[in-house]
Amino acid sequence: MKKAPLLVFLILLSVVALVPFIWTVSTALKDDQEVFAFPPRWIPETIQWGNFQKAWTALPFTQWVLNTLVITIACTIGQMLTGSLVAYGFSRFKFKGRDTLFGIVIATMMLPGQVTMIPVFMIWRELRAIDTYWPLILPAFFGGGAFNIFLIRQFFLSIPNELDEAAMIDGASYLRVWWQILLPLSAPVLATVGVLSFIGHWDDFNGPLIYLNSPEKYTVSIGLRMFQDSYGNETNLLMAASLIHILPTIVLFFFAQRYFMRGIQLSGLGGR
Amino acid sequence: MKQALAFAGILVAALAASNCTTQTDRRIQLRYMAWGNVEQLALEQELVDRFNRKNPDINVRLFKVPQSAYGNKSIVMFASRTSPDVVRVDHFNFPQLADRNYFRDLSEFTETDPEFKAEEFFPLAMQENYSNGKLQALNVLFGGGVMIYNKSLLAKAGLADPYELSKKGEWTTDRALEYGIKLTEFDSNGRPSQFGLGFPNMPFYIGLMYGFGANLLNEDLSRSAMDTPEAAQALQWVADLRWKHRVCPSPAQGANAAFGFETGRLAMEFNYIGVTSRYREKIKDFEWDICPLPDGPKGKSLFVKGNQLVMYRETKHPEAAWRLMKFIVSEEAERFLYIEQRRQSPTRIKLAQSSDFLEPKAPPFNMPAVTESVKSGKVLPIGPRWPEVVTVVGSELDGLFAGRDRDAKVVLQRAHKAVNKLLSEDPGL
Amino acid sequence: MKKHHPGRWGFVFILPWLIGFLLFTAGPMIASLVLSFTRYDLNTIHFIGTKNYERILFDEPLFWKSLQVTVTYAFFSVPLGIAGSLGLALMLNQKVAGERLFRTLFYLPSLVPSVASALLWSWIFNADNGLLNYTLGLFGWGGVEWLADEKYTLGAFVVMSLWGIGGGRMIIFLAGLQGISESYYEAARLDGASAWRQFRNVTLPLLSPVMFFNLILGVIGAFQVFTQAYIMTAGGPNNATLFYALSIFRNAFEYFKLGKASALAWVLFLILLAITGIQFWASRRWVHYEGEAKS
Repeated sequence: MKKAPLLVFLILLSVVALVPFIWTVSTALKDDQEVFAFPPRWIPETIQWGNFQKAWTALPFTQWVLNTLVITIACTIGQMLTGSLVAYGFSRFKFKGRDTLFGIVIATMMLPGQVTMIPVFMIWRELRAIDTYWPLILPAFFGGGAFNIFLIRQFFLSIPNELDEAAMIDGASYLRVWWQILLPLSAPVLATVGVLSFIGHWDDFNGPLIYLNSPEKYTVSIGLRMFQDSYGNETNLLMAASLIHILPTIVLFFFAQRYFMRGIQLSGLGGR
Repeated sequence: MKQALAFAGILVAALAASNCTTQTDRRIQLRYMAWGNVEQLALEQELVDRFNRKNPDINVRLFKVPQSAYGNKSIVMFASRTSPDVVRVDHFNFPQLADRNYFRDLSEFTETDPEFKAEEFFPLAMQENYSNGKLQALNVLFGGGVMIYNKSLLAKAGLADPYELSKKGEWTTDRALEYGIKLTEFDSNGRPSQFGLGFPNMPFYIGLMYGFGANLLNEDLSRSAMDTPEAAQALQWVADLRWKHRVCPSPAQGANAAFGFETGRLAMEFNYIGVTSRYREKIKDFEWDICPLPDGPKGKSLFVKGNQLVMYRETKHPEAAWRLMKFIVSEEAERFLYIEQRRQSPTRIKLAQSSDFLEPKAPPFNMPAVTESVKSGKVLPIGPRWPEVVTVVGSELDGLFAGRDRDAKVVLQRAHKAVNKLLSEDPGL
Repeated sequence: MKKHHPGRWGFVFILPWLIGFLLFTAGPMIASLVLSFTRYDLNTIHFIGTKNYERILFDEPLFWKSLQVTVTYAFFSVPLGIAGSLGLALMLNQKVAGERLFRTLFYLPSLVPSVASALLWSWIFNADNGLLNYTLGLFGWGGVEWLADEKYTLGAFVVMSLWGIGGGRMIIFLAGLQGISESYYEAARLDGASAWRQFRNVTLPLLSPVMFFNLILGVIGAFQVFTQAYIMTAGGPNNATLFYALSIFRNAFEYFKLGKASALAWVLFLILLAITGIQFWASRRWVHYEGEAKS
């Protein structure tokens, strides 16, 4: 392919990809009248930075961001810890039924969540845990998801056993081998799991929708929905609020970009 | 790696701790849930604040949920035993939920509390509160719907005041259509710049059906009544507003704020008077007021409905909850909510007939339009199966209102069959 | 040669997953199967045999509608999405200037949380003031009511899904492309193969496992679209976006017909099982593995 037209095409495509962002920012900065002006303008006549503050204070976003952080960080830690523990078991040990069980792990990746949604809700209801964070956090501590187990296991398989052996000759227990040998070496894949987990839980809408009732416990995703209900007519504020929801993941991505890309490559190619 | 984990762990713990409220509060904690737009919820908060001041041993918190999910959230909370202590339940849902025994029988309070006198309230309002022979609620936001009109736009078009017309019995559906046509305007590009009428959503179209001599269901709510020519006439009139005469915004246009009444680009709308607290705040550039729904060919289009304030059956503080409920329907609270803020008609007869209510100092001034509904409005056909019925009817009528079907008669036949089938089966299939 | 440690400990380490699987997956699956034979509204429960299934399959137009909506959506968004990601990856693999910058820019849309994405796209699709209709208008094409006209709403959703083609899937394809040894292409070129032939005979086969993986996950993902439909259109207009997952949610948490919702979930599961099975069977024809992979 010729280089110059390709470059132009790529530039065009990236503009198309970015336009929704720019449009959102542009709308967020407009005042009430200008939002509905026709033809629409890209740069508002008067830039209303105050819209962000208005949106933030109209509803308890501070509380919601904190809530979401608590849930997200807790889940991320849970997934990283238990995921790597389970992956350790699957990669370093041989026991009866291991391969079958691992096959089940893979199969659950293809399970639609709806099949278990209702009984799981009923379980939490019996445990009087509706409107608490337990339904959202606890599952992360049970292996952290098939995808993560798969990812980390592939990575562990690529770490030579000799390191384990050496440590155990020195008297280390299995657990210590995991904690002090394998985990540190798995920093890239763990970082990937961590970042993907963060983004996934920051984004989670279904869980909070079903389990959280009290507004002070809401996460940003539900809060944004509530914002849409109460202020949905004020499109500029709605766009500002949406940007509040978008920003953290983008910022995180820029910080963790390197790990990210590498980890995704690892995931897609089966750890090669 | 380990340090990162440790740091994250400490961060989580710190954030979680910051979430916990220290329980040095000795007061009884109650949660009260109600719906409303931003301004209306502010009114509820005001009520809550007043109650808290008068009752220092109780702390009531207003419990807010996303309004579009209010109904579902309240049901999920009843069913998962996490419900607030006092909840406002729409009368649409009340019979069905009362059947499930989610609410506490209030007669233990009403019969022993000397301050509560049932005869001070409209009989119809009290009647609504009963389900299966038991008093399971108090009534709030009781009344009907009205039309809100932009006086300035009507004057500009040289049209007579509809409230005055209604007093003479001349505010009819034909007249309303005429007004709609005269008040709909387009700009030079052919884009609509102003609409004459807002669309009469549920239950306003039921009110209009009454005016045409029709109804959704029969007397005992066991069968559909939609197969009558009057019903077809009524709904054809409604659908034609939007698709034949084009005096109503389309569904998409009605969805965003561009043609909201307060923008001045909608001349008349069907709405509840409760929305006027927002209008008093937001509308500064034109005059507005209210009038009743237009009379149909067979009679008035007035409907009346309340909403139920219930006490959650498993509340831990029934006595305190009763005090809150009593306060919400007290003369002071009703004065604030209904006379001052015009949230709806008062449920107390004395207040509804007072000159403070009927002759206010701030718009809307035509308050008798509200009392009319209470006096001569017909009740809506709401029974324990209402939520299912309205889902079925709504989805059939959606075709008519969205312009896919043009013939109301055909649509109503389908709806008629579907509702009869529904009512003949067990609920929940 | 890998030496494995005594099995017992391995079993202990995988216990968190196993317990979680039994508690949150296997158990609930059986429970939802049982529920699907009942009528349950979170309050009282009645056993009604296969009535839910009969109702769904024979007496419920909305079931077929939601299936049609979801399958149509999957039919367009999955192949277009995979082709789009692959196309982007191919372009970025051409050693153009600024590859990393482009890669980042294309990736950004996939980072946007679903609720925010739904809201901002609602605004773009707005019939009167939205960016899309305005842009079309600039080219002389009339605007449409993207989210209010049932002819176009599903298309709008497909377009929305394409915003994320630069996401993880593209990164994976790119890595895959970069991993293909140049020697294959050289050999093909020596045989006189054109660029297209090289693509077809070298690139595609070597990427086929990854494509297959993405195809399976893509179809399953398409059947689980929920948030956008819930927020943007509430399944409308006229059920044009009544995605299957939304239908299940509605029956469970809006109509409180939990038995029926469970039946719907199981029907979905069986459908996906069948589709995945077919895909696996068909994969023997077109998916090439580089040497047999043993776990």
